[in-house]
Amino acid sequence: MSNPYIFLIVGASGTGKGILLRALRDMGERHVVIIPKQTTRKSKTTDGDEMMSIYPKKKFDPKFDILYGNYLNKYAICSSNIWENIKKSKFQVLIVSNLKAIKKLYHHFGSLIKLIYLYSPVDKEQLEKHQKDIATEDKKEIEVRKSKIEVVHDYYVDNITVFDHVLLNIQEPEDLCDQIFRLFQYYREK
Amino acid sequence: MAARIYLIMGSPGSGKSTLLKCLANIHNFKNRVLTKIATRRVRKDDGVEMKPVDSESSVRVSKTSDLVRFVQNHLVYYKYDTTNEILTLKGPMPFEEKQEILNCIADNKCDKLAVETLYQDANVIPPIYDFVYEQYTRRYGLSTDDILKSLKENVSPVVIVNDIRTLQDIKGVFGLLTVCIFLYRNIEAREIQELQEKRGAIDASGKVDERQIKRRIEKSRVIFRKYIENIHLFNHVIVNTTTKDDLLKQMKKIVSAYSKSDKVTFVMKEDLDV
Repeated sequence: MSNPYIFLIVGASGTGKGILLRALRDMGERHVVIIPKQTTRKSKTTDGDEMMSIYPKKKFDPKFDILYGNYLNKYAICSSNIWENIKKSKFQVLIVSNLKAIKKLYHHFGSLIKLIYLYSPVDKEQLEKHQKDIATEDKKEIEVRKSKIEVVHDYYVDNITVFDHVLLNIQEPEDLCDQIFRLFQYYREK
Repeated sequence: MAARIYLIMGSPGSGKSTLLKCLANIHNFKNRVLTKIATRRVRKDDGVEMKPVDSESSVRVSKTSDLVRFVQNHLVYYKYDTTNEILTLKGPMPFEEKQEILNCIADNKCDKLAVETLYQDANVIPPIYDFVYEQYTRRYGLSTDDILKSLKENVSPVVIVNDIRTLQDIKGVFGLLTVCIFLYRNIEAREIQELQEKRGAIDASGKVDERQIKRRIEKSRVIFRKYIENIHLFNHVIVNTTTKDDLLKQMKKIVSAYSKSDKVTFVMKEDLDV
């Protein structure tokens, strides 16, 4: 039985997190569980079941105990849910680009965490169009997302040695999925 | 600072040469770029890490027994097409000719030039280079002795290696002393063309050699595929997409993390929340 690793994916807006999540959903829970999150933002058309909008409410379910802010919205993760999956020896994936949340997760789960940077050369105009397409109505949020692209890259550069792996989303979406699948395979056999 | 073996893999134009030049700017980082030996002619765009066989073999082949073994085992006829840079095997050398060379060696009549030519023309790496791989019909060699010598002097060997099996072999021998780095840069065809111009890769008509450009683009794809298939092998990825300073900063961070202690510890900054 392999260690139940938790893969934290850090990536700027437009780097392909949606593509990755779709591929992970397709893989099914036999391979990996996507950690659910609650959020104060409105639902987007690309959101999967793992993203639970509580909009217009602002108070999270108390079970969701790891809280953080991102792109002017609030998010929450349920640590007991992660422990349940660890007991079942499942691989888990969480998209999280917030440093405080990452630190809290390290504090809870230590060496089970594998930190992964998702890189893609992002075109800001395309990002804006994409955000509008998936129903991001808040113009301010779109601007923040655009402005944070370099911040996320700087965050990677400053902490390059903390990251265990890098997914390069530079050619076909299949290549990106291939990379994460191969990582799962490696950690399963480890 | 404990020496480590830095193994660097990257596509053509990803910034390998720039990175090697930058290493001198890393404070307190004693390093040595290890030269690979190659069975091909010197190219204008070869970096400092590349050495053709002929510049090395006269020094490396010190024992006559090595040479005799080499002649017995490897000597074959090759045809080298200089236009297409293709080496074709024509067949084994007749016994009489081999014997003639062996006699020359025995009589000490085989001069240095002849020895050099033997290796290069036969597309064979001298035996002292024990990590050998082939790419596009050329063979490349690295020596364990060179790596060990450097480590003993507490100088970190830096090796450019684009072959996965060799990378695994070196990792297999030196284990935790190795640090595998993939160097990534999103390079477009136009940039490759400019790079080729800069490096003087032009054809007989004075234009940039289109075949070379195509070959380099294809090589980039192949190397990215190697990365995908062996993603777990790489300890770090340098994302070389902005400035030279950014490239250097990433390398500095990596070197610094391994220099602190044997147990690598990291600090996360608070002020980069997103």
